Formats: sequence, structure tokens, C-alpha cells
Amino acid sequence: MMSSLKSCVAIALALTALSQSAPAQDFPTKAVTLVVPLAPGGAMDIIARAYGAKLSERLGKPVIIENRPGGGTVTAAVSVAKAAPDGHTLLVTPSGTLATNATLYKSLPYDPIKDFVPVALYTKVPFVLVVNPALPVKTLPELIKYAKDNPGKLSYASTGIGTVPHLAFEILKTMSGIDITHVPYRGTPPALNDVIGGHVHMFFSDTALAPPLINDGKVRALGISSLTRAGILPDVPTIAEAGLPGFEAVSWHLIVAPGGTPRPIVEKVHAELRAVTTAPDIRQQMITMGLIPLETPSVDELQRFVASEISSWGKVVRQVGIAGTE
Amino acid sequence: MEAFGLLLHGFSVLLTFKTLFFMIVGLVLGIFVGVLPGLGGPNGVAILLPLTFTMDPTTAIVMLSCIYWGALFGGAITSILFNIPGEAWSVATTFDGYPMAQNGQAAEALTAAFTSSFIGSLVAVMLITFLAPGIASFALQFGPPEFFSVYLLTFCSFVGLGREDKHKTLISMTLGLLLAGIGLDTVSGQLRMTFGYEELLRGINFLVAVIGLFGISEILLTMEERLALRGHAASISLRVVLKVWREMPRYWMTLLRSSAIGCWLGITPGGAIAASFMGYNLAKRFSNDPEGFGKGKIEGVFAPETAAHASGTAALLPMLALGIPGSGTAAILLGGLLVWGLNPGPLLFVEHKDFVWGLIASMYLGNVVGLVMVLTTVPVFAAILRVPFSAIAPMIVVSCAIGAFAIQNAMFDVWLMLLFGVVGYVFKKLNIPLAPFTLALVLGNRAESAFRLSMIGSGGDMFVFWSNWLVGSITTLALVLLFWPLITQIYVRATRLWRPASGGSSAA
Repeated sequence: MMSSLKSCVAIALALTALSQSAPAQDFPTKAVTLVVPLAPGGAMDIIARAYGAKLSERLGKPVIIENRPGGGTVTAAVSVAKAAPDGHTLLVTPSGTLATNATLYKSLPYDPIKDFVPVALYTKVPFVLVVNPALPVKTLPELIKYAKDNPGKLSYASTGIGTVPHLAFEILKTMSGIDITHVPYRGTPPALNDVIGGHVHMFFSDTALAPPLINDGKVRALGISSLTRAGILPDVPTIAEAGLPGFEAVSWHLIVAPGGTPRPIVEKVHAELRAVTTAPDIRQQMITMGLIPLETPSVDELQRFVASEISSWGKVVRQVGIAGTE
Repeated sequence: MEAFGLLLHGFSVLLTFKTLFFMIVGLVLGIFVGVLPGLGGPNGVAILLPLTFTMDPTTAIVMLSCIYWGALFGGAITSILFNIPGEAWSVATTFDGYPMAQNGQAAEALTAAFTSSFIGSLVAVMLITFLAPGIASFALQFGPPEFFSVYLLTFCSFVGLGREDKHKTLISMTLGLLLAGIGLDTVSGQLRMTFGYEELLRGINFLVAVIGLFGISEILLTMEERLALRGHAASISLRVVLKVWREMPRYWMTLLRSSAIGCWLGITPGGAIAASFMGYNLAKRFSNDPEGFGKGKIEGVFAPETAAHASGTAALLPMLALGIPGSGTAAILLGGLLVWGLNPGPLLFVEHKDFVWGLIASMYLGNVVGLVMVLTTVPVFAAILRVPFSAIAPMIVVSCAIGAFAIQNAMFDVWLMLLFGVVGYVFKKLNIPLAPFTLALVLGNRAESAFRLSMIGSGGDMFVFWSNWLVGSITTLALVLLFWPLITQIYVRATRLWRPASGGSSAA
């Protein structure tokens, strides 16, 4: 399978080499497909559909949002890696697909660096540490002290092995020297449900579902995993402010094209995406969904960014002892 | 009665030309989406969500939730006519719905399905109207052990209450559980049984398997038998509808039981799928004529449809009251709420009365309008069966293939569907029931992860399944159902031995 995949990529590359002469002015010649590697309805999907509509207006061709969920985003990534590198197929990825998977998987069926060209990074995805309100802690230092006084008695939820909510908590454990049991759930809703119900004590939740529960007192927020506060939860301090300086564990939404896409086309898509993702209404929508909007760095900076993310998440994955387990 | 006044206010919000128009648009789209296998309610709602970004929130949610009601209604149509479940929760509807259609009672089966969907939804909406905040907190009591016990109950009810040979039920269920293990394991993060083949990373999609197992295998069987190659001439008129309605009150107990099961499993995100299977099995167990089930008994359509739709509707309750979605569609609607600038949760009931009560009123009105719409289409759909099989079979195969492809946009799934068609054919030839297989495939993963999370939580102590009255009674009930055939045998023997003491025995 691997060899046939590689030959497919090779053929695709060879074909591109032939068609590289196609100037960027001609792009797009047909509908552009933006693959979302998750099921419809999440923040990534909703935002993509919103700027996808704007992108379509600017390009003058339809932009099709195609959901290819399952397999921990790997199958969607493989399909885009194999697609013709002409800019008509794009993929929006969370940090896991490119950064964490590089170390997590023993043999990843794609190369995060060679098989993709980063095009635009438009948002950081923070997570908010919430605890069951019955837990007698109101701040992060109190939690750390409580966990040290009750070793092995507390548990935290995540959305699966190697996900940001899992790794973020592992970083927190390492930085503060506490011992808390990991309970991997199948997604955010069941994990939040069990934090409220007291079946598990705490969770790095996504910031779309948690705010109403925080405002309502169903869960208590102790900190945000990003370096800056989130617009949707202005009163919640960052973990770094709350007592662990330098703490940052966020995901992001990065749009990539198949490796080998001609640079002029990459630059053109980059410019258009920069325009649509910084539109005020799209930015506002990101904030409402709990995200931290960004103005995308340049394509060169993005390449360095992906490499540095692979190395920094790789360090955490190895530290937790799950490198090469998948 | 405060709720009643608010509900009337909700209707007043709703009864504008614009809202009603979008309601009907939503219902039509929903029925269409529900009829196509594989393209389910969640997909329909997600695809149309961006169109609503510019609408006012009330109109938007009315339209989107009507897509959902429409899909719930539409899912039954292909199950009954072609043995192809349009939605996962329609699988149980095929057990008796399809035989009914084969016996020339397609119109009756469709009417029964639509009407019982309506009743199930109505019960759940009334629950939402009058008990929303109180009931919602019930969902919070459900941790991993409780979920596992519910799944165990569903599995056990199949073994204990099934009419088929016990060993064949077990074979079928075990194979399903084995296949459910394929793919990425969320608890350990390990890849299982993928053999280095990346298409298998996703695991076996349940709907793909179901479309093949039921739809394709049925076509293979029909081709072999050459019996049904001609169309069925079914007498079709609206009188059929009235006839089914007259019969309906006789099954009030089944309807009530299924509604209760559905509401329960909808609020706790156990899901419409488990609810439909459980409703069907219990109806069979308590029926005077359990042998008639599976051969085209109208009660076998009432039971799963009522449960599935009560559950589908009740799943919106935790979303509204807590902000935690109880189903895939609810999760997408929740995304919509955020886009429209509304924060879900208890405060929604206080801060956005128009929205909440408009939505609840639309559940009533949408279901009534939807019922009328689908009932008037019964003759049209039932007429499809008059078309000769040789003409319609290729169309069914093509629509199955499109459905299988559309679920994950993967060609691999189409091959998988055909493979499952052959598997289904072999199973039917060997008289191995398909239902336990599909049930294991859809719930196997969730049951496994619920079990393992319980074990992490309890440190490996099995008594976590008896740690409180709720989980304890469900687990015990599950085990009783599993050994039900043995228990009844022992009871019969005991009463024979000690006839005078039989009144004191409580085993039954």
C-alpha cells in the first residue's frame, strides 16, 4: 500500500512538473475543494464554510467544503497529499495532523513537511481548564496544592490520546510536578458532561462549549491554555498568568496545499485567504466560537512555524511516552 | 401552567408567513435528505447551516430543526420499501416494515411508521415543554459506568429476548464486535487490525455496513429467488391511513413504552439507535404473538419508530437546557446557536424567550405539518413498489453506492458496502440474524470505551457497575435479560416440582 501511495505521489508530482508552466493568473480554472478532516458542525467546519463562501466570491469559482472525517484526520490528509498540486485542493488542519502525528505515529502515511505546503494560518485554538465546582480549588495554584496533598486521587478528561487537551494537561503536570490520572473520552461533549456530573475532576475544554457552563457555575474555569486571553472569556486568566509562566498549549487551523503546488498559486491563495479570514465578520465569528483570530504569517514564516511545532510537540509526545504508538 | 402561556407566546412568534415558509422548506429538504441512504440529518443540517447565518436566529433554528424532523420521517421510507435503512435508527424498522411491504402492505407500514414517529416526537416535545430544566440534570448522573450498563442492557436484551437461535445471535454479535474494533482506539491511541492499510484507519462505518448488509444482500436474494421480480400491486388510498389509525389505540402500551425508552435514551446521550432496538425487543417480549414479529407485524413498526423519534427529539433537551448536545444533529445546531450569538445553557430560557419557545412551538407545529406532508406522499412512495424489480434494482444499487460514498466521501466505502452485501447474503442463507451484528457494530465501540473508562475510574474494580442504585439496577436488569431463557426454564421446572409454592416464587 505504501509503495503504491508513493508511486501515486510520484506520478502526481511528475504531472505537476509538466503543468507547472500554468501561470497563477489562470488559477482557479475550476471549483476549489477545501477538505475539512472533521465531521460537519464543529468550529473548524463552521468557520471554513463561512470564509469559504467569501473565498468563492473573490475567486469567481465555487469553493466546496468537503468533510472527510475519521481516522484521526489521517485519511483526509492522505487524500489531499495525493491530490493534484494545482491549488484546487486544499486542506484545513488542526495541529495534530501535521505537528503531533509526526512523532505520535510509527509510520505516518504522509510526510507533514514534504507532502504539504502551508498556505495560511488564521486562528489559534485555546483550551480552558475547567474543574468540577465541588472541587475545593478556585485558582490554579490551589489546584496544584490540592493535587499534591491528594496524590493519585484526581483524574482529568481528554478527547483522546495525543490530542491537545491530553498533551496540554501532561505539560501542566510536568511543569507543576503533580500526579493526576488520564481518562480519554471520545469527544468534548461527553467529557464536559462528566466534569459537570463529577465523574471526572477536570478537563481542558474547547472554548466554544464551555463558556455558558462557566457563566452558569456548572464548571469553574482556572485558566486558558494560550499566551493571550480569549475574547469569549475575558475574565479567565491565562495559565501563564495564573502561576505557570511560559505555559502555552494551543491548536490552530492551518490551510495547506499538496506539496509541489507552484509558488505563484500558493501566494495567490495565501493573499486571498488573508483577505477573507481577516474580514471583521469572520474574525467576530471566530471570537464567538472561542477562537483567537490571527493575521496569517507569510508562506516562508509558516514553513518555519510548522517545523518548530513538529519539534516542540514531538518533545511532549516523547516525554509522555506515547511516541510511535499509533 | 406558566409553560403553557410561554408556549402560546412561542406559537405567536412562529405564525408569520416567513417562518412558516422556511419551516416547510426545511421539512421538504429534510424528507429528501432522510430518504437518501447515507445522507443523514446531521449532514443536511450542517450543509445548510451557512445559509442561515444571515437569518434571524428564530427563523434559522426553525428551518434547521425542521430539516431534522423531515429527516426523521424520511429515514423510514427506504427501510420499509427496499430494506435499506436511510438512517442508523431505522434499522429496527426494516425488521417488520420490509416484510409488510413485501406482503402488499407498504401503505400501512409507511402510515404506521410516520404516525408513530409523530407520537414519539410529540411525547418528547411535551417532556421538553414542561420538564426541561429538571430532567436535564438527570443526564449528568450518567458517567461511563452508567453508559456501559445501558449498552450492556441493549446487547443482553438481544440475546435474552431474541426469537432466533441463541448461538447464532451470539456468533453474529461477536463478529460485529470484532469489526467494531477496527481502526484507531481512542482509549489507548493504538491502531487495531488495520494491517498497514490507511483506509482502515477510519474503522468500518456503520451505515456503510448497514446499506450493504440490508440493501445489497436483499437484492442478491431477490435475484436468486426470482420471485419478486414483478412489482407489487398494492391498493393505495387515504382510507389505509384511517384504518391504521383505528388500529393504533390497541397498541397503546407499545407506544407508551417506546416513548418512555426513547425519551430516556435521548436525554442521556445513549442515542436513538439503542432506543429503537430496545423498543423493538421489548415490544416483542411483551407481545401476545412474539412469533409474528419479523414477518410483517405492524406493532414491529410502531415500536422502533416511536422510540427512535422520541429519542431524536429528546436529544435536543440537554442541548437547550445544559449546552451539551445529546446527538450529532444537536451538536451542529449548537454550533449554529453560537454563530447566531446565543449562548446555550439554562440562561437561554431566561434571556432569549422568543427563541427558545419559538423553537419548542416549532417542534409541535413542524411535526404536525411534517406528518400531513409525509402522509400525503404515502401513495406516491408506495407506488414505487409497483415498478418492476428489474427496473428498480439498478437504481437501488446506484443510490446505495452514492449513499455509501457520501458518508465519508470515500470510494473504499463503496467496495466495503458491496462486500457487506455478500456477507449479508451468506448470513441470511445460514439463518444468522443480522440485527445483532449491526447493533454490535454501532454500539461496540462506545460500549468498549465506556467499559474501559469505568475501569480507569474505578482502578479495575468491577463493582463500579453496582456502585449506585441507577447503574446497579440497569446492570442487574441486563444480566437478568441475558439469562432470561434459563430463568424461565428454571421457573417452569420449579413450579412443576413445587406446584403449591409457585405463587411465592419471584423469578419471573
